[in-house]
Amino acid sequence: MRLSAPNMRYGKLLSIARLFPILLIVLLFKTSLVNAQNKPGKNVPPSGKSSEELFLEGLWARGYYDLADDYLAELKRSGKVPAGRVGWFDARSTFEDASSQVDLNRRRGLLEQSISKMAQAIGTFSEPAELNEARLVQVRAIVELAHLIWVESQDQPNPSQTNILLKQARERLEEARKANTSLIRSLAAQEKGFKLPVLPDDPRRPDFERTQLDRLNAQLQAALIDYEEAQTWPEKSQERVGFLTKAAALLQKLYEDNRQQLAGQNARLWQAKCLQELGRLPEASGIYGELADQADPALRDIRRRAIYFRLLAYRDRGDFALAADEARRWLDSYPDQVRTDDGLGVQLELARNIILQLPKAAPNEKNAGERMARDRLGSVVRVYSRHQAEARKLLNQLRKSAPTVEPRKLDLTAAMAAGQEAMELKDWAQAENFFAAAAEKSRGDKSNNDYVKARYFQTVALFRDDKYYEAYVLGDHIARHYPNLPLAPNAAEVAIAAMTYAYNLLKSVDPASDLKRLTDLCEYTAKTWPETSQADTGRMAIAEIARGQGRYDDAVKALRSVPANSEQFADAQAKLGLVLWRQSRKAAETKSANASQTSSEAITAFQKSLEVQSKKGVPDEDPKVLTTRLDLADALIETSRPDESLKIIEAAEKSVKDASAELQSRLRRTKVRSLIAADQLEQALKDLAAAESSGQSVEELSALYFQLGQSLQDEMKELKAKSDGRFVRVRQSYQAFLKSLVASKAGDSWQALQWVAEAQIDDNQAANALETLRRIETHFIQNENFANNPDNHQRVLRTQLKLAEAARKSGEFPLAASTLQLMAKKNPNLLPMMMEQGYLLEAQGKSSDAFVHWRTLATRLGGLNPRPPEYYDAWIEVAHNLEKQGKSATARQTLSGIIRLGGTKIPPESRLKLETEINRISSSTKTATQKAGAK
Amino acid sequence: MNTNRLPVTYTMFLLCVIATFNSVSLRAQTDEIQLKPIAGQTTGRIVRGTITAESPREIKIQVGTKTETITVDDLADVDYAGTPQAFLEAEQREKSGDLNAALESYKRAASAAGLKPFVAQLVKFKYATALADAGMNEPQKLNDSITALQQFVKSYPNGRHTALALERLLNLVRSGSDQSKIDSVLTDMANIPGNQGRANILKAELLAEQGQAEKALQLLDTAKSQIPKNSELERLAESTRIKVLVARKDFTEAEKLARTLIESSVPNDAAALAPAYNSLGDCLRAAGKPKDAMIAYLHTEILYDRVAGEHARALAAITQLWRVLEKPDRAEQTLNKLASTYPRSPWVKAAQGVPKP
Repeated sequence: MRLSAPNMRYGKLLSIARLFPILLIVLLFKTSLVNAQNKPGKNVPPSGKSSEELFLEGLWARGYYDLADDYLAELKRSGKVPAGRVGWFDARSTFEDASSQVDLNRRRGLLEQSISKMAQAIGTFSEPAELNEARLVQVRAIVELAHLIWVESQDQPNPSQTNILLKQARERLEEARKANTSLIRSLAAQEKGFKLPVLPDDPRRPDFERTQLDRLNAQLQAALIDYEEAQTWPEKSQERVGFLTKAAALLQKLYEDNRQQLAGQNARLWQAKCLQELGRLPEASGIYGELADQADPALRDIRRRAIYFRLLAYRDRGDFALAADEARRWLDSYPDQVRTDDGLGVQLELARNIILQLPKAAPNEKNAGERMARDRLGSVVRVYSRHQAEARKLLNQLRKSAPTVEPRKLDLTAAMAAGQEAMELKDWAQAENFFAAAAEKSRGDKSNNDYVKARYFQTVALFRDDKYYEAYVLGDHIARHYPNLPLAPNAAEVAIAAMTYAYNLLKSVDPASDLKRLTDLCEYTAKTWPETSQADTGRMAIAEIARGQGRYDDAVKALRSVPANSEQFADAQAKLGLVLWRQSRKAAETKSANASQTSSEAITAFQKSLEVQSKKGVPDEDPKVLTTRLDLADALIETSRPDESLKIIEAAEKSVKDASAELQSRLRRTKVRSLIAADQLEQALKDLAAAESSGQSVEELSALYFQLGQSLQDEMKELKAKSDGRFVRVRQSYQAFLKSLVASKAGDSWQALQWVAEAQIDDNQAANALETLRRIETHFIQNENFANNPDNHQRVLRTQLKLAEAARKSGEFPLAASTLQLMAKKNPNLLPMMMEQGYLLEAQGKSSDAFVHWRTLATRLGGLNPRPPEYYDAWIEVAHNLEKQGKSATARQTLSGIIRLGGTKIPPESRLKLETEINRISSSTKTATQKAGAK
Repeated sequence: MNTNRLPVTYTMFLLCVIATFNSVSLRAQTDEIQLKPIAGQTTGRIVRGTITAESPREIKIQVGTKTETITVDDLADVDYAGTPQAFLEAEQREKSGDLNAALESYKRAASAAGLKPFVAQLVKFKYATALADAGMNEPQKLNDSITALQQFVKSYPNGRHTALALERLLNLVRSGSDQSKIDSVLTDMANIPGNQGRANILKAELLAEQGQAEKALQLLDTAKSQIPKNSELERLAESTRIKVLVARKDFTEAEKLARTLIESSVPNDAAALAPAYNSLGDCLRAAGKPKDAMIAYLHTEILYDRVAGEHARALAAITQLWRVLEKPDRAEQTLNKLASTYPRSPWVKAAQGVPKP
């Protein structure tokens, strides 16, 4: 307790320190805000935005996303702004942060988070203007996500991966389209709600104009969604042409109706782009020319983009020199735009048009041209944009045709740049050589910054080149020898990942040494940079190793050391839940007292993980979220809380559509278990029927049926043992279940039908079993393809044997006898068949024949070493027959003799049977004697 | 417009030009010795004057009327006045790995008119060592490089670079089977003042390679008194001792010493660390720990590849370990690297052999 006080003070100081930059920025902003507020009669700035929003926009524009987060937390605490509005700002902040990310995965994650947060925040809005604006931004975010997925799809190693991403992109666009259509409808209705005319001095005028503008923007967005979708289809495909044509028509109408508006001019620009992509170059060029000649400063952005699009049209019609000149002029005229998406596109075009002119160029011009194209492409590949993949392709082509560069001949800067370029081109081996050369060149650097930078990138290149031991050696070297340099923790993180991969790939030889190395580095990382995300990575890895080795206490300790403010906290809690759960199961096995407490701690950890993920705005579709939900559902089933488990599963079902087949299958299995545990067997069967009608695979269905069957069998066993009254009802469900399985697609296989038949025999439904076995006979045994396949030989025998058994138990002795005769012809020495022959003789009441049969069989089996369990069963049957003949004493003596002879060699189960039988005969003899005495 | 400013600017410009000219002309007329930095400093002292004498142990430089003596252990760099442009060009080319172009430039530098004796000596030394480097990849240049180094040693028996030339020569002749040649080089080296310790260390290493580990250890014990404390030579002696212990199969002691040496060395001390990591790899391999051994050898392969002999040794061991780890493709890849980087190295043959766990 004494320690907590200074910690709290320190925490407060930290929070003040964090807010200091915000205060500074507030001061910077102050003037403009004061001016805005001073305007007579206005409480909000003229833009209609609140001062908080303006301030946040300032932070976003400067890239201060962390400060924006702090400011949002402060806003939330102060309660000055409604919670829904703060939620909206938070979603916007995440969206803005996403736009600045170079890492595609991170960008995608943030976009998904922002879309999810937006949906939550929009639900709290009631004011139309606020709602409209938010919905417009939300659609934009979804389109951006779809676009990002499309960009990713262009950079995939194989077509199947590309197609998966293209499908995802189209689904997102469809989502955006639906949201946008609904928005347009709502805006049109709002517009109609204004009683006309709304004159300039009408107080409703600003709202009216805003609604009109929002509607116009939404319509423009609708066309752009079609344009984006066109990009996801192959060139000249029917779909592509269809979407482009549709977008072009809509854009033309928008332009015609709103020529004087900025949105109208924008529509004109995109109409030309659609026409260009439809191959209508002259029309497109005409529009570009018209827009490029616009002198109005308000149209600067449109003019700039029109010139860019026009140079694409020049290229399309083969005017490469003109296109290159236009690109150069563009880059000279808009130096501040060089790194924007359009700027990168223009650089790509400049390079492309230079390359296209190379075949006709003089040798000296060729070299210069190649150099220039290479420089431009190098700039494009280093930054994320829609042009990156194309630039990478061109640069690779150029590199292949250019002479090889010897890394050692380059100076430090050139070697680093060449290394980066090779990394962008995914030429990991070459990147490694360049960075190694750069490290060599930086040896004189006293600060070691260049050396560590070069070595760090070399580590990454080695890792990407699947050289995990090498990457580990280098990353570990940096981490341990240069711990004060900024890249050291990153190097440690790569080394941890590398050793993890190395361990997984080479488990056959000395895996313990890899684990030791990994643990050492993780511990070092957590100790050296305790506050960093890399330390958390280390802690998670330590926990994973401990869990794998069954050291649950160590795993729990490591996972609990991941702080609540860590990015990995949710993951750590999910893993903590799993470890605690295993610990609790282990404790339950040994009937330890703390099993229940540990399992409830596990459940709490799962719930905490889900809560944190939800707060972070991680979408419900995220595989980690789904997995944790299922882990939680499993734990709830086992702790007799099936209703809660069902609720979790129902929530997960809503977001499992795009999940992996494995996760979907796990969800269905967990649901079946939950339904059984919740005593909703009929619902489970209905679900199975629904799964079948929805086109579920046969394998998946079979697995679900068998799981349900197994669960029912277990439950019946338990209820029977407890003499629970529910047994009858469960048995009925079980019988219904078996029928459903026979009728289902899953029941179309030999395995399923045979399983059902045997289950029916075990459940004393001999007649039903016989019916099922006859069905097997018709569908499989009599099918030549099936019966003649040597792999099915055992299956045929098993069906025939069970058919004989079911026939015997149903009293259809001739059928049983003929089946056994048929079997005996081909397999006269088949032991189970010989056993069944004995049972049949007994069932037919042929005691003396049965006695002879059993004694002969038992004597025959006695010659085997070791003796099979059937040997003892046969003797028991001999004893039965002796008993029937009134020779109980002989029967008992026979069995006692078998026990004496067998000694310790008798399997425990058979010994138990023999002893039980002797006791039974003794007691029945005693009863008979007592009865006789009484008479 | 402020017209008064023009003359001031112009004067300043002139002063700058004169100062620059003076510095260039001064530099052109004097020799320059850069000393190693002493503790607490980032750069060493620079001594300018005229170098009057050089020996394997020291340099004498006349500064004004005084003569200053600087031991070779304190030297960081020497810049002679009147060094021909072709020499600077050759060094640059050598640095960038273009050895053939460097050799051409050294040849031009050697034929430049009016070369001072120390400059001529340096040019010949650099030419011979560059030729030796080229000989590593082009076997046809091997004999020429041996001849060039022998001639250099003969011409400058008491030169500042002679010991280094002999060491390079030893590296070239040791791969042959002529023991007398090896002995002769070692004797020559031992006769150079201050180099007896180094000669004994190198001899110990050769003895260990020839299976005479006991003799090698004795020699290293004898050489202790000839080696300055905390010097590079002391670390070299230590890493040689580890190698000898490995050759004697005293793996426990060798591993202990190797780890101590690795711990106590600065991370860029390639000369000490490359053999130490390789010896550590040998020990771990002998102890049946192929992955630990692999990690040790990979340090030499990735971080200390500039120590050619040790690099080749590491590549050979890594090749064999990949086979033990059932990764034949990686073994093949590493063997190719070894064969292409060090085509004449005896380690190429060793790497092709049957792997030992």
